[in-house]
Amino acid sequence: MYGGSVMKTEILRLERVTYRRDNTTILNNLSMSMMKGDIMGLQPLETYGLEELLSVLTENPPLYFGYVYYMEQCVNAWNAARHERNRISVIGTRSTLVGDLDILTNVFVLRPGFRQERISEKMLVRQLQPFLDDLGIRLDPKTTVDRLSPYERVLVELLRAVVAGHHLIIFREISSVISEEELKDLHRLLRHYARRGFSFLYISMHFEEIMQVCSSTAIYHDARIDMIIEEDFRGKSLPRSYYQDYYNHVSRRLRRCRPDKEGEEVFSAELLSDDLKGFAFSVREGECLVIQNMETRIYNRLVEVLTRENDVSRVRFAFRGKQEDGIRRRKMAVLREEPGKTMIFEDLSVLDNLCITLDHKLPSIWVRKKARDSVREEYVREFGTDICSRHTMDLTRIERLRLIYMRVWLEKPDVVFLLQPFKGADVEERYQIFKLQEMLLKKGMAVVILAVSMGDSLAIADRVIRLASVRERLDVKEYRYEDFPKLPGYLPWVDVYDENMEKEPVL
Amino acid sequence: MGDRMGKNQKYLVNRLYLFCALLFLFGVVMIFLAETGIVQGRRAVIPGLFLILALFLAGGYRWLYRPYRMLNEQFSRFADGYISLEEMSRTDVLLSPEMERSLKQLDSMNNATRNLDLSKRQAQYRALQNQINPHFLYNTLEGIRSEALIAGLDNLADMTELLATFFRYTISRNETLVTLEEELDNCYTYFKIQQYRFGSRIHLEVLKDEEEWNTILHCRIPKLTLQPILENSIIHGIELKMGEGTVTIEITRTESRLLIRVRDDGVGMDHRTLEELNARLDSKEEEYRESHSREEGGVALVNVNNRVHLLFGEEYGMHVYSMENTGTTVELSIPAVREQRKP
Repeated sequence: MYGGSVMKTEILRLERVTYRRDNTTILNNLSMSMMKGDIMGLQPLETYGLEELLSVLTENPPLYFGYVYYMEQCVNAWNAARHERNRISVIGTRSTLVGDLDILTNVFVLRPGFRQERISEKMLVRQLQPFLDDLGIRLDPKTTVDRLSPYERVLVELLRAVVAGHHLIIFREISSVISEEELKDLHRLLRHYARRGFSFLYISMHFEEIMQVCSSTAIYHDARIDMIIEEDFRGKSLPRSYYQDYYNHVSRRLRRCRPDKEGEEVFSAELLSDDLKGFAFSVREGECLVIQNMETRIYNRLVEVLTRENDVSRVRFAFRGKQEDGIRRRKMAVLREEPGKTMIFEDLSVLDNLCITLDHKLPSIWVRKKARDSVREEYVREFGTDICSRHTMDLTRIERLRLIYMRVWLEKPDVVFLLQPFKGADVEERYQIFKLQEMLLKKGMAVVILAVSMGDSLAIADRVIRLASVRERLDVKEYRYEDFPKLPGYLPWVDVYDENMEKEPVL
Repeated sequence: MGDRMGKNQKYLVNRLYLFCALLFLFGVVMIFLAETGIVQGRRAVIPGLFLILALFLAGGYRWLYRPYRMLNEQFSRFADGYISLEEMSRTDVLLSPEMERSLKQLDSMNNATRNLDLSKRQAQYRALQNQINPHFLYNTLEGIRSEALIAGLDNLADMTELLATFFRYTISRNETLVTLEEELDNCYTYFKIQQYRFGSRIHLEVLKDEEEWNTILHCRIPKLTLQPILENSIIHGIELKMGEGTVTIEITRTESRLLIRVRDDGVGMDHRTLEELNARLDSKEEEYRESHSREEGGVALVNVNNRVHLLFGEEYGMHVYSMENTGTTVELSIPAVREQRKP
């Protein structure tokens, strides 16, 4: 020790970490470090090895080479593995709380190291109160976790980590479960706790989001950290060399495809349920409408109402002017969040997965092999590769996405609802999703994107509706294409609209 | 006796002999029991025999298979260039005594080659130093400076003075470790010399942790650590860039480490080049380094990293981060020491 000044503490250091599993190198020569009180961003350009990186950070698995230091102590090394868990919390899109138990039990009693045999609830409530006051939130400690909103769940997980004294807390893609307003509030809390010595690793697929809160950003590419971009060192967006093709493609679309305002209105919806009453929207042929919900509660209600079959008491649908139930008549398709995981039938073949919704168009599809073969050829024509001879489980993430979007493309409904289509997608996947959405629009389908986080939706949008709740009333703001530059500057792609709005469209 | 037994068990081949002998003994006992009919009518014997067999298999897994896998991984690490021959021969288990002897022989041959190469380089360096004759060099530079001053060429005079200061630090001082302050001064000198060439195109910033700065300046680091990194940033980063560029040196001290980051906002490098450079920095293959370093860039970084590894161990060293058209950051981690350490 030298002198009496406060020394910086290195909270985390990964030194040339190489991690192998089943003789395959997953993490390769990865180095990074974080100081106490840092809020560091991590942007994965692809998700390969990300799970393993989190496992290396939290679980200390045997390393092929390298060293891991936590709080300046070597906790894992290639030649001396300890295999004890590090006191690091990961807060992600899925809850790690026990749903049936109340906040108090989750925060205190389930904590490793809680040794009291007789639990005094009163005392625990008293102990929790200062933490709640510190967070600036009002929560009844006896509320069951299942009854919490997604944002409250995130706050309770944060509280649990703080109470447990975890010095490093990792947030993983949190913007896909909480709204923009809630995210701003969470950022405020992160800054508050960072000042008190907690460190945060903030993993997000969007550089613009990371920039709002982080002091530095690690660019994760090919299972390595390529670059640490410091706050004073970075431009407005992620260096374009990493997504040049995607950027060029979007720019070309922005210049070429101005929304066709004269197209026929194919779908309209009028919400009748109490909390969404008065909200109505319509969408035209080949138009992409993005409905961004500033609160997760509104998003959940909207998804529930719009995707439920035959719920005439809460919503009224009209297709090309006629009122009818779209789902039953297959005039409406819904792609759930992360469709590559949630909408593929693993036990069916790839071709069966492609044809599964075609029975109303081609009733003999399951009898006529020729019809199925032509579907297979159609896929090859669109994407250039034949995946039908492979097993469903062997498909890559991008092939899975293509399979699902192709299924909808073949079905050709009037309107397609996409629920958070960019959730969990890395740069390459986002580019593919963008192209797949373009494919649907070119076929004349109307696309409605429902999201809490704008993500890359703005790149494909022709119109944006932002929904917020102001004093218990629904506040609806609509942005037409020419108004996009007026959207908040931190949203991804707004700067590209800014640039392109000046230029003449290329016809 | 126990020690000798333990030493014998270091070799997998001995363990295998012992395991086979015990297995053979077990087989003989089994046959004997079956032949004599002792087991007939005694139900407890059969589960007992199965238990002994299970113990054999568990022992085989623990004493043979697991160490074999560990040894295999160690060989794989060596083949991939992660560990040196010396580290590899330091394992708890080896295949046979002959293998141990061979490894030692290989290591000593390798050391002999390395020592030979080192002494050759040292001799070349000394010869160069003698040829240069520092006093003659400094006197000459001083002479040029005086002539320049008389002729009114102030820039030339300053440049000559800077060059003399730079050489005085680089050639004449023989310490292994110097203070960070001295190393930073040398960086400023080098930077000023480069500024005569680049003009206002290059900038240097040193980010200071005001509270710790005084302590940081007195920390000891290997001599000529910072200047080669700075040179690398200017030559490979800023020089190739259109317009102005900045090199930022950031030094942070933690309880145990001194972290030095030299970043430039130059041209950066692509993902593949970065991967190769970091692999070269961490590779233990001396020959690989030698054959590649002459042809490719980054020699200075590899040399600095080698010296840090030799002085402080494998836990410390250098890592490069870079991104095309954004810049490069070289991060050096060394222990925070104030006293002179002998290598």
